[in-house]
Amino acid sequence: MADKSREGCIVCQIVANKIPSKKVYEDEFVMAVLDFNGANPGHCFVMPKSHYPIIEQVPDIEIGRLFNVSNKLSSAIFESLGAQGTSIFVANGIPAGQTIAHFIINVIPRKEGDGINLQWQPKNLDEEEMSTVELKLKEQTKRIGHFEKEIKKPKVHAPKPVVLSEEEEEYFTKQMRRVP
Amino acid sequence: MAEENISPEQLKALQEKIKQMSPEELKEFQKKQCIFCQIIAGKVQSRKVYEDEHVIAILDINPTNPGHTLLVTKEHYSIMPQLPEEEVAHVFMVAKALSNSILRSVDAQGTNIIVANGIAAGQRAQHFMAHIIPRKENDGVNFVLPQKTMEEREIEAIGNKLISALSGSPAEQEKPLIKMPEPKNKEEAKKKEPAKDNLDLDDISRMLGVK
Repeated sequence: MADKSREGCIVCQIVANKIPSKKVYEDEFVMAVLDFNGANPGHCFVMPKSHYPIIEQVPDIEIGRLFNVSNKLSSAIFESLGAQGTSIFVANGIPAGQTIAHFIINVIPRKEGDGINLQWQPKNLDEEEMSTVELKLKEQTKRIGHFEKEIKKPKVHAPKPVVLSEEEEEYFTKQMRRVP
Repeated sequence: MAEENISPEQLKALQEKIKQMSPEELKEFQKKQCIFCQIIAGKVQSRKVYEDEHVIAILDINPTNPGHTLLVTKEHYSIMPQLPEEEVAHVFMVAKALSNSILRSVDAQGTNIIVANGIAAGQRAQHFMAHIIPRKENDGVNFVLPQKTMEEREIEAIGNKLISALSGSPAEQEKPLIKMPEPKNKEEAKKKEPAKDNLDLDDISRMLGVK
């Protein structure tokens, strides 16, 4: 992991146990910790152990793992903290509110009137503007469709059955007939 | 919320009715009342920007910023905890790709990805979705995540609760109360059917949501 961490990155230091944290989950790719200055008690950070500044750099396989851990944490928050809701929040880029250059997913327990605001004032776009956005975006999404699949290593190396072609089979039969 | 408006007898009858529904009937019932299921079925118009076997992405008609996209599962799930693992992985692989597409097409400087589970989190529709929101500096969007300082003891206690919940040990004592949003077309639904049916949906959603 050391080669994939970035010096000076606070999240990498948490992953490396150089900064103390309350760990709630860990596997080979993912770590989840509680935020000491959370928006609500139980606010968790889910992060890849490798250093990726933004979501676009995180491999698909790790995306799947990260969001599944977030989802399980979300269920755990409902179950054990009696939350009325959960928010899953990702800030990608400084204008989006990203403060640390290491991709993290916020999983936040929610209660009514808890002072968190993830709402917005809708902007009014006319039909023409909407159509322009739609066309531009469609042009870009044409590339979507190839996702990295997780390579599952077979645990047992079973020998492959030998399948002979008809020709080979005929040859073998002939060979065997020769044997007295 | 809704349950305040009905008598205990009605509630009982309703729970009985739900119990007798087969899982298929339940799903059909939910789908009928869900605007996003109607969009997916092509019965309601939308601006679709991506579609595959499992998900569709459409432009939000009330966008935070131009390019605000809703990524919706084709299957009806009320909240994210109901999604199977493969579905979660797929949804967010697509979300990542969409974030990239948005950055390239609408001249954004960043994106937010937001999922709201339950009314308290700001969920409005009864169908799971991920919002992908293009962001620019000074775009007038003001998401607030306050910083609350917590004592180490408190963090330790909460952390241990989460760890035991994650490891699957039963922690049944504190049942969550997830309030689901009311259907948007409630007025219409009221006209066509007795009010009881709206309550049915709330109840089903809550029951499903808890599981």
